[in-house]
Amino acid sequence: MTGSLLIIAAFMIIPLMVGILSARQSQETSEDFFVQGRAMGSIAVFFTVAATWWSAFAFLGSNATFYTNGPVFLTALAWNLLFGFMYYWIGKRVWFLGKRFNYLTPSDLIGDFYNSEALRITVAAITLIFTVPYLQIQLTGGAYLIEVASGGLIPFWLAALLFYFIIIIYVWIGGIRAIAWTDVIYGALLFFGMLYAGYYISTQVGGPTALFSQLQQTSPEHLTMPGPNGTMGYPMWFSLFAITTIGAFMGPQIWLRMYSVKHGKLFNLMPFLLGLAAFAYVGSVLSGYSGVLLEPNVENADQILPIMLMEYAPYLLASLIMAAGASAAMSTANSQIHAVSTVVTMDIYKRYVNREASQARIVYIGRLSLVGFSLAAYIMALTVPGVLVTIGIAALAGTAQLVIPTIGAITWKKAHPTAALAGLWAGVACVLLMTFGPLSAPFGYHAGIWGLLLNAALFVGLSHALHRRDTAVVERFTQARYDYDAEYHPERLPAYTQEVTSSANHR
Amino acid sequence: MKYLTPLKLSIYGGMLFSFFMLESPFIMLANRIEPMVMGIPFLLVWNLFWWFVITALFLVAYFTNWGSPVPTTAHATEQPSQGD
Repeated sequence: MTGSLLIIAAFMIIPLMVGILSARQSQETSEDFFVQGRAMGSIAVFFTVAATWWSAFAFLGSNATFYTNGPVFLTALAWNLLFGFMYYWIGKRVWFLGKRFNYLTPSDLIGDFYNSEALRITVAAITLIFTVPYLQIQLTGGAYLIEVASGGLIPFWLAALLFYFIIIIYVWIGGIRAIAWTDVIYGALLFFGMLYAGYYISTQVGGPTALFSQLQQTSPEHLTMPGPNGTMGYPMWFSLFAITTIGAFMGPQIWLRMYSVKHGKLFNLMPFLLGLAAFAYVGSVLSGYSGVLLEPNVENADQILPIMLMEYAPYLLASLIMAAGASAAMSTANSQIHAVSTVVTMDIYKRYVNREASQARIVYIGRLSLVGFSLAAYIMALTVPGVLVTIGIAALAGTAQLVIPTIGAITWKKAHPTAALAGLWAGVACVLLMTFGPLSAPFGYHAGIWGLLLNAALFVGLSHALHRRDTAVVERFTQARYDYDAEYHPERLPAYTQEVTSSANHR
Repeated sequence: MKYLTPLKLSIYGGMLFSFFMLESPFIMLANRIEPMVMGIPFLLVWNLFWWFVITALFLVAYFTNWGSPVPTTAHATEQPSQGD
């Protein structure tokens, strides 16, 4: 027991030290606090993006889903690849525009391109409202793991409180720089923890091959869709793939990790690195399926991994792996708290309360927002029950709606503000009505998919029907996109086409 | 299609095809336990195989600048007036 408490203490103290040390390079400017002066290097970018993207949803939710619903979570391999691709294709363009026009939040880019205050407020509201429930599940998952790892000595409420206390200290001092460096530790722990937990637990049933063989005999429905409950077929396979990726990608915490990057070339490599890391999900396959054989009657599926670790692994190893799980939660929670505080500070305080605020004042308000949102999420974690994956998907479906106006802003000069606004409202309303209201999502696809379809149809249709009159804004963005192509995709420029044609004629 | 160099077309085409194998209804044809490969169910093998293909394509894309030629200063830096 003492060993476990030492591991938990180390898990809390080491990131705190790293955060505090990294904060020594910080400057008291909003750009440094929120996006590290747009100078984040490759190692920090990879780990902070990966660890932020991989959350309690990945560590606990994946095991739980294999355990209760069969193989539908295998679609995670593809969604990690799509996330990587989006980071390259969308992220690089967002980064370029962010650098050119000095953006810090999603509302900055969308509000600026569409030249619309209503849209700016809508985007800020969506990012805040839908990020908080996702933040809550991080806290719930992480605190639960600490509670189990300590053998109940640290109760849930205290574990959650400790979690936030640590995060607030290092984010308060170092902003995104401190988060990025602590994420290097969290990320490494998380990936190895997931893989090793799966391998170790599967050895309890004779190793991976024996596991699948036994499962084929005793519960073959766990190995194919639609799974043992008959509810997780192709529609859910595709829904999870699309909603999880797009929803997480459009979260404000990932936007900040697009703006923060130092060099555009790093975006070219990230899809490969993020895709490679997805192999860690094999660990979840093994853990979740081992649970079906070893502990078939666990009521709360989110607890299957901690229960098996406590039952079958040496206590110290179990504590270490659970600390890795808590890393998944903490590395997402720290980024989300920081991101929502950025949105509150820049999109609400700076824009509508005090436009003339000094740099020091902006950073101070950002820090106060950290505490406020942490408190809100803490109260929610103690009072709102729920299964990690269910809450997670509903929250992601909301933020996913932002992808339509974002793609419009980075690629399409005809994209119209009214179309973007109508699409967003309709998409979010669709998600809320189908998730919590009287409507049910047709054909088994998640509400978020229907929301995206409605959103896209309205956006494209209305943009074609309406015409923008603010030509100065449109031209400013057209020039920026042109410059982006000149720097990264010269084949898209007329000059390049002429060059290639003339050299071909010459030959 | 004037934007697509042959290399870019191959990379993006390969990725699109591989994603189609994983996320289109086509996946239901691989939704089976048998034949197991080295004791691993077919659905899992299928997913791992296409995951490997796309990851490898991402690596190729990185080394080839995602199929885009390396920019030179000779290209225009001001947009043509008609735009788009």
